[in-house]
Amino acid sequence: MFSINIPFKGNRPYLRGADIYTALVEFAKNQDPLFQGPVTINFRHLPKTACAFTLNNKDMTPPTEVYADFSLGKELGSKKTGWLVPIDGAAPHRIAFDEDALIKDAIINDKIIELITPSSGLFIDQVVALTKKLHMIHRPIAPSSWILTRIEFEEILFDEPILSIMIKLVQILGSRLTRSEVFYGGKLIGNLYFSGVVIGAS
Amino acid sequence: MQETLRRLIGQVSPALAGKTLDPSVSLLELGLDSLDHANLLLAVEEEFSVKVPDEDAEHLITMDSLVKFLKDQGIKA
Repeated sequence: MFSINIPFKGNRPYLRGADIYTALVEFAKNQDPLFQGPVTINFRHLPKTACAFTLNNKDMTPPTEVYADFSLGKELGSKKTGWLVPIDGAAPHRIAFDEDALIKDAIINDKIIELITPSSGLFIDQVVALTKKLHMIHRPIAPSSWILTRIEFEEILFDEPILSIMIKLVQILGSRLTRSEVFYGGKLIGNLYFSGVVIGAS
Repeated sequence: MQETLRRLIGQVSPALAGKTLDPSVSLLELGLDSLDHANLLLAVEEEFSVKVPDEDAEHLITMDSLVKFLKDQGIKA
């Protein structure tokens, strides 16, 4: 089991999916420095406590409490699967986070949002912020919130982006689930799925 | 159509891949959770080029109901 140390950000009572993605990619790169993806994460429950990654060894039974399940690598390569699970330990600390500042120059055109000149910050943070912004404009669901539910990237982009980022909202199943395509420098690299969720008190 | 649905179910829930599924039993009882179910409906939309109305989504929880829905949409078995 590999515990992760990421903070709550802003006023969120849960750990952000983008931060879990970042921690998972770091974990994968520690396991294999040449790791380049693909990465899939399904978030099953909002992670509200300290947590850890655990790898699935030989088709073991899933843990009883699972925040997320993940898949790393290619089917015919060294694919690894596993889970994000709650663990005993101090609650994550909290830091300030201004998500809107990451995407202040975004341009929205119908179901497409684009950041032609990405600002400083991680690629995943900007992609998630853009997708959420697009949802809030296209499909406002207050008092519920749009939450990142599934990440599906064919290749990983971990560092600060240098090319344009474009998000296209392509499927909407009410407020249950949406699928958005993620383009980097004009190339489709994966999908993000968001669900409408009522966020409970922390 | 049923074969395609089984393939899609196996994709969203690998634990069910290749298993014999009773078409009248709720997929939620067979192990799909709400995220798997929503993923399945998105996959159905894409595979069959149909739109699943939000009001229908919660009722499409068995193979039988999915088949009936697709037939009602003009998809041939």
